[in-house]
Amino acid sequence: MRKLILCTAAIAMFGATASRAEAQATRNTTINLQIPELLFIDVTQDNLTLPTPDFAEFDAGFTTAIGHSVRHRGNVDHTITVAPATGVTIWNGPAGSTKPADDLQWSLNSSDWNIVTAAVDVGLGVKGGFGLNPDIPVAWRSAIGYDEPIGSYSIVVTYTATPN
Amino acid sequence: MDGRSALRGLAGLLVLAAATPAEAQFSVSPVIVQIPATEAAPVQLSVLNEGENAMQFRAYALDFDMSGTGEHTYWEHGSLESSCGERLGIAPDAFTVAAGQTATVAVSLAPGRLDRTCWSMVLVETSGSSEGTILVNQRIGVKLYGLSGIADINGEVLAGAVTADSAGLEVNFTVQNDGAWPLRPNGVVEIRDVHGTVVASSRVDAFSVLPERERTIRVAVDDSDLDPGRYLAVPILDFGADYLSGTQIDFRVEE
Repeated sequence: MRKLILCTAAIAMFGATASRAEAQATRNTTINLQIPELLFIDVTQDNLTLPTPDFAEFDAGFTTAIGHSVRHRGNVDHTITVAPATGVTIWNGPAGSTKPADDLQWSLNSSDWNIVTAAVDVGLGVKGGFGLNPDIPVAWRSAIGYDEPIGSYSIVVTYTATPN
Repeated sequence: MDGRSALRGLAGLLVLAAATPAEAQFSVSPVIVQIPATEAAPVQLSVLNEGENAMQFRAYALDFDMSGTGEHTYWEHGSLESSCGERLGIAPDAFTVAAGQTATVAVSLAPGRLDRTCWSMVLVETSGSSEGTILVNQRIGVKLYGLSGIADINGEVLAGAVTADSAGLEVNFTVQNDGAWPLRPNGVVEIRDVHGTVVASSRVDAFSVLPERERTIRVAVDDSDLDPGRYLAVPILDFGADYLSGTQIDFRVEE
């Protein structure tokens, strides 16, 4: 009788263990991953001071150019544009004087110069890191004239990275 | 390495460091947001300051449209018929993020018309130094779509053309969005010979087409292995619907 009780207990324990093991074996775990579209931008110098012009530059009509680079990456194709900041149509000059925003010019090769009026593309980016998205070098200069008021001028431009 | 070489190496590193100072570098995700008509919960945008100094940001909206070649143009928010207008909420609209930290911006859409999709661009912008001649702002645009109530994904590939010059082969084709929802198709351009065998192909990465708009896509294909003869260029796009769309463009590779 004692053997029968032990045997019954063993079967009960085995059965419980076996059914627990079976339940664990069929349990699934879902691992979720949400990959978002993302973009990165970095202009390597966020303020530029154009060199003080001399007579040669006044005679040429333009300042010497100065440049910086736009670094960008993303996991979507994207566009980098540049434009005067929202609402900016002039350079702010000394004592309330101004000069037109389109005196400002940019170039990707320092030979073909473009006026900054509305948003224009300066480069396209593909999905990938810096290796697939080389820095975009942008040079800037300003038209200048003898009749402009003497003093310091400044203007704000905006680079925008947008998914295509 | 002798002392002079070491100094030259150090000088090179200093020049490189000076040329690429770590300034206002940041990222935003996600940059494409679709909010269903019945969704009340806001979408969280993550703004990561990847620079070495704290950065100040502002977040605001503009209306936008896309030309047939993909250029974006912007208008004051609420001025276009397609704008999400006053339905759109952005909070906070000004914030500071410490170096290496992430801030969250909540973008929400109040319930609106179910019969049309609206779209606006949410811009996350940081301003640079206030000293200098040319002051630079940087911003990342987030395309926001408020989807109409009934799913309407309906696109097609219209006619295209193939041009060949010394730079290689370029296949261009126009995609038309006939539906109320924005499209984000992707796919492949296959080059097939007269037997129908695929002899070259080029991937078409995802791109946006606004509702009731067309967009022309240009895809470069490596033609270095193509013998002179007659071929078909076959763009095949997946719009996210239950069908693929494509077209065939007959062209010839000359001797």
